[in-house]
Amino acid sequence: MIGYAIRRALLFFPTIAMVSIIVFSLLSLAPGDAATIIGQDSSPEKIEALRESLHLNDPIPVQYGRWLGSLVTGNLGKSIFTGRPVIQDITYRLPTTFELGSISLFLTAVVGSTIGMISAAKPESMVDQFSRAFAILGLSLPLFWVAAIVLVVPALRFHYSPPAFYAGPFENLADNLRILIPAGAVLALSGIGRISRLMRATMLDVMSQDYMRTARAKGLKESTVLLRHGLRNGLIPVVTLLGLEVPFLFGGAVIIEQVFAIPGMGNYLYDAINKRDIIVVMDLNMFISSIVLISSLGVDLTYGVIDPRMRIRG
Amino acid sequence: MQEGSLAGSSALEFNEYEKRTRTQRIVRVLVRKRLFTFSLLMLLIIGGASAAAPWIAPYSYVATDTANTLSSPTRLHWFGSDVVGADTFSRVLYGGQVAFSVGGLSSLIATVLALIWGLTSVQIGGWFDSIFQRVVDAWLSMPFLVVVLTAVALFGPGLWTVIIILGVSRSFGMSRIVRGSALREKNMTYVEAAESIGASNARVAIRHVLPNVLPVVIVLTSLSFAQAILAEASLSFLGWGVPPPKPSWGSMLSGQVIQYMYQQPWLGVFPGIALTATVWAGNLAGDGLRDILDPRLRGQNV
Repeated sequence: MIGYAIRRALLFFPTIAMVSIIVFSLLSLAPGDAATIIGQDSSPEKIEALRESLHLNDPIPVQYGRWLGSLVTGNLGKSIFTGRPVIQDITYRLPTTFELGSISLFLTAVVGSTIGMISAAKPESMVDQFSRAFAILGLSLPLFWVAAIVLVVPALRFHYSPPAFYAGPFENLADNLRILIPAGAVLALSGIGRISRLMRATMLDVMSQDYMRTARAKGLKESTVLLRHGLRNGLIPVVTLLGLEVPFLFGGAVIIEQVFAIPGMGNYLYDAINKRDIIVVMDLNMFISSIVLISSLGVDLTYGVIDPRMRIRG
Repeated sequence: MQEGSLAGSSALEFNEYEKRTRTQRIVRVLVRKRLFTFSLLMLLIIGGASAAAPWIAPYSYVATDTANTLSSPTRLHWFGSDVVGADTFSRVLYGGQVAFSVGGLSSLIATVLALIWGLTSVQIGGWFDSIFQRVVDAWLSMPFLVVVLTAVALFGPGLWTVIIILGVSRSFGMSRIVRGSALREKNMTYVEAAESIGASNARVAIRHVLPNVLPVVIVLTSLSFAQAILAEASLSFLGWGVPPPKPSWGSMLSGQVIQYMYQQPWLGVFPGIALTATVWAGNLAGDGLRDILDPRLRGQNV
């Protein structure tokens, strides 16, 4: 297990290095350079001065090396607009997005698995057909539209609005949840679609396995058969997919945090992009990717625990 | 004539099956798979209406009507009008043009690139394949909307910029699936046979592996068509999609518009329905294609 864990953890570094190359290449390939993007409307002299101060006249590999070096030592630089160190803003905003994401992931897992299992229990029935169509609908609904409906309809119909300003869970839990639960539910919609389909396919597959027949033949209660043998094996692909949900959560968060006015990482990225704050944009790209890679590492390690075969094969 | 029904197809006597022409078989599929046919019809209707926009739209998409701003559906404005009086029905039709063109072109680009990445990676194999897999891993660790938004912001918004960025970003994820399928084919005897008589890498990849990878690819293309439309709408919602004045369903539902929805809820109804219906139809069609072309893949993430 330790060997597998170490081997798997080491994969993180080449991959995140590749991410840094991609992010830096995007910046390099874009028309103009960082100075023109930041100082769009300034005079040419000011832009040139900015270029000098950011060392943009050095050859590209040197710039990349310098950037990578500072990232590795944990120096994420300061935002061009607020002057605050980026790390400070991330520390403030990450827990918010984390809370939103957790609520969403919880709903995805619970609702998605339930729908999937119900579908698998009676394949090709009306319930099953409806669940599948609903799952695909979940994948197709535009997040911003559903979010708008969730905000506007209660306001017009029932004169209900969530709080106008975001409150942290320790300041005002009620207000906090009144914003985050609807937001998390909307964010969970597409995930529910994915998970319920996967759960259905997996459970159908598992239930036809021989060991399930053996378990029943042994005289075990149906609930034991389902939970002890069926679910444990069925859980494997679902755990993977939950881990794979993390990128979707961040992508969706950009939109959801905008609509619900939640000061999280998604909102941070969106603001930075609008203000052309290159430093923050690149830092956030790297940071978010790191989180995604770490969570997929977590998933693989959990895999190793649940499925002993992985420790030998993987 | 004996007809069973195994997995949705009928077990006919061999002669009877052979006698059916290809048209008859296609019609049979369409009738059996109602959801698939329904979704195709929806796509045709919406796409057709959008394409016919210059002829059927009562107004141009920039025509304002300051006497009738923020109106509900009326005989003058079938879907209502927005804050400057522009007709929503016309704008929804023209928005469809943007959606279908961005969706279609970007998914085509994604497919072609995915085939190139995937097939060459599998064919060359070895260290090239390993390095390329790290590149794909890296790309997949970046949330799609995040990377696309960053790229559009860096390169500047524009119709073709959005199309190319969406296509390239999608191609890496797709290439992994192409690679999976190609690997399965590569281990089959016919490939070994071709290579043993000296077929070049290119020939094996294009002439032998590609045709067998195609069903998977067709399914992927149709699914990515739907996803691309949704992605473009999200970009437009955020203000970074296809630039005005061309209307996009996403921009018709943007943050500023949401403020007006409290006054005039009809603003959100029709663009949202159009967008959802199109994406849903695209996903259903892709799903149906997967069932038709290879029922073994049902329920998987292909």
